Amino acid sequence: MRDTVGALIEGSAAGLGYALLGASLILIVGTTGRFHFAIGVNYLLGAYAAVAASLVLPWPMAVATGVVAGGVSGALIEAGLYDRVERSAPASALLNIFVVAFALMSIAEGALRLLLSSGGGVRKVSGFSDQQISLLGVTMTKLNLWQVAYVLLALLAIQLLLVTTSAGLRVRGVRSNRELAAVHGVNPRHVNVLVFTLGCAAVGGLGVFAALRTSATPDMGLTPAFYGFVIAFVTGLGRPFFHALVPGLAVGVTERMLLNLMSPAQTQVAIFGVLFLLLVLRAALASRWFVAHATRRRPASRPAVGVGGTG
Amino acid sequence: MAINRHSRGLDRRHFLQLSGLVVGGSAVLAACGDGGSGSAVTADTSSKLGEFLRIDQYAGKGTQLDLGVVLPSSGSGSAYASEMKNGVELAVAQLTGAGALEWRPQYKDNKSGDPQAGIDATKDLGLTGTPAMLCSYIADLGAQVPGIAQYQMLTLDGAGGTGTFAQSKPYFYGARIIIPDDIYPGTFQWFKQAQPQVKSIAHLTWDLGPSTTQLLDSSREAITSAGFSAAAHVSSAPTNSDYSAQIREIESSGANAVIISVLDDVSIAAFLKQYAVTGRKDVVFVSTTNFTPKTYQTVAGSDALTNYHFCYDYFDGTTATSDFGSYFTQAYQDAYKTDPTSLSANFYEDTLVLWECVRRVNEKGGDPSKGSELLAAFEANPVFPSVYGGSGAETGVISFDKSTHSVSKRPSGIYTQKDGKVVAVATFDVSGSDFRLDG
Repeated sequence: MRDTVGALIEGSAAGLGYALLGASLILIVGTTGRFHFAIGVNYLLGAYAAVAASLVLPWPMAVATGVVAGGVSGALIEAGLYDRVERSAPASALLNIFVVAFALMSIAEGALRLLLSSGGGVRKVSGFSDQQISLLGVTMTKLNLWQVAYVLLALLAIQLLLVTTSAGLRVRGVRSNRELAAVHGVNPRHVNVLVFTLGCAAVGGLGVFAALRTSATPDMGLTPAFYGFVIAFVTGLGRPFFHALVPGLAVGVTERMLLNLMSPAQTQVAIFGVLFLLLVLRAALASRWFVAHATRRRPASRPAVGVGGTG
Repeated sequence: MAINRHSRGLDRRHFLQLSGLVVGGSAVLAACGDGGSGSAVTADTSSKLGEFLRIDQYAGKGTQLDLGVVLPSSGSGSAYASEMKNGVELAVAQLTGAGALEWRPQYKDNKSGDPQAGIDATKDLGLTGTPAMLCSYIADLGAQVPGIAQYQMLTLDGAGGTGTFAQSKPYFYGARIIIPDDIYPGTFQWFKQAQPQVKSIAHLTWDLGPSTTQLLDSSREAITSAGFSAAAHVSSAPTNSDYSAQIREIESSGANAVIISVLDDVSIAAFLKQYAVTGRKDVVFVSTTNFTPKTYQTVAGSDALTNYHFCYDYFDGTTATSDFGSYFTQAYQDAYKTDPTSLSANFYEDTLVLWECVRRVNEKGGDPSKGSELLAAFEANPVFPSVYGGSGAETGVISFDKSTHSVSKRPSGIYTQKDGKVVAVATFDVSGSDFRLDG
């Protein structure tokens, strides 16, 4: 049997990562309505920017570089690509942007493989040496602790920005009612760029931690994008972004605990199967049919007396 | 009007913005890179191939024949494609230069194990009447096998062999050892003779479904039959990059040796890097995956590689023991300015194996454009010259088992890296025969 407490801690660290991915997508998709599947590109660029930065800077600065690269690339994708796609064909913007995001993922991976041809494009972030540490008899790694700290800090920073600043107020306004916010002088396009910058910056930093754990690889962005969308949808795109902590942690911890009982493939099927059922159940509960049946009044036992009855 | 403004083409300002982005992005990527090298080889008009192979009037001089070559040109295994292609190109050029058949390679992409891509490639080649094929990823994880038989293309997989699931399939032969089954006997002998502290052996592999359960079961059986204790036998999803759960299980099972199979090089290096965090220095690692020093160094670093060994039919710029092997090595280095690898050696000699089948068909007055005749020629005597093994003027051989369709003779060994160089610690043939301790 594995060390259960250790597995719980590893699962929590991984789960917090999933939560940040989901939270970033809730912020982006919930505010802008754009299915930014290319969030994997921001993850990827964060990691590779850190690889380049770590050649001359200490690793904490490489993490910061990854965060900046994620944020800048997110802002550029929104302002330079998605916004233009939407303005060129507003009626089909949702689908077009989704397709563009997929294309962007493929292009980024292919371009990295092409440009960094030697060694299959695999690169490492230099300057960080991981080690095990024991706290209260529980063994964990230094990197896991740093990642947990990073995720919590990122979530806290975004929440503070949203709650305490005027920019945050504008984001909340657009999330709540886009048209009304525009009437009050808020430019939704600026808000879009802001949330892309925030969400993608957080994800870029997460990419650096993945690269620190093993290495940066051209295909490293796909799985996190998938996890992020699942967590975001299960949480609910209209919910506050930090609500992603619950499903994120649940997935991370359950994943690790299930590995005690079944193979990795079976674990994936079990977890994502349950999440899929949750989504189906939620959709069913929200359906008109269900609402209509749940709120239908029972037939009255006696005929009602008409307002204009003869009395 | 706003509509006009947005619908017009790229103006100068936007062009400059875009250019700046591209240049900036390229600069970051360039900082990560260390330059790749293109490669090309032209027909070797002074080919000495005739010194090692029988190039006679049946060699096919002046004739051309299509050769299907299905490689992982895109996807995670794309780094290997150029090694395989280089081997093919060199063999084609040398054959032409030596006055033999001119193979016309028809390259297809299996997208690094995408079954549908493999099926499409097989169909394309089959419909155009291609009689022979070289492929990889164990005939693209089995998906090509039915098409190979349907279109009657004599096919060799020099990258994955037959594996455990594609043995005895018509028209399909594996041109390297079965991994991991063929490495067990030699590896266990090495443990007993050179690593006597090893008592309990774990196994890490990729979770690829039911075949993984079979693989791990047969591993347990082989380990216990050899007198060792079977420690944790664990698998990991191919998309996984965090091995902490697997490491925890291996550690708690008390393993002091770990066999790693099926995982790709990046995954193994990531596993080793994470294992090094435990501080354990006494665990011996033996993997069956192609050793790519640069990837391992990049991801894992030297410390994590201290006890790492790899075991398979390995070839590099220093392993040739025969004149034929040395000739190939030198020609490869001249053509590509780098050392050959196992994959380039395998695809080189597999191209020559298929040509030898053409020669045999010609000798009997048959039609080498028919896969069925090539297969008959192949199976009539499935023994061919090899760049592996041999000694001096005595050329090494590769032979195939007509029952399993895998190799029955193939020099293999256990290797490690010392001071930046690969050294053999033990060598043996299939089933552990001719075992010898080295180093």
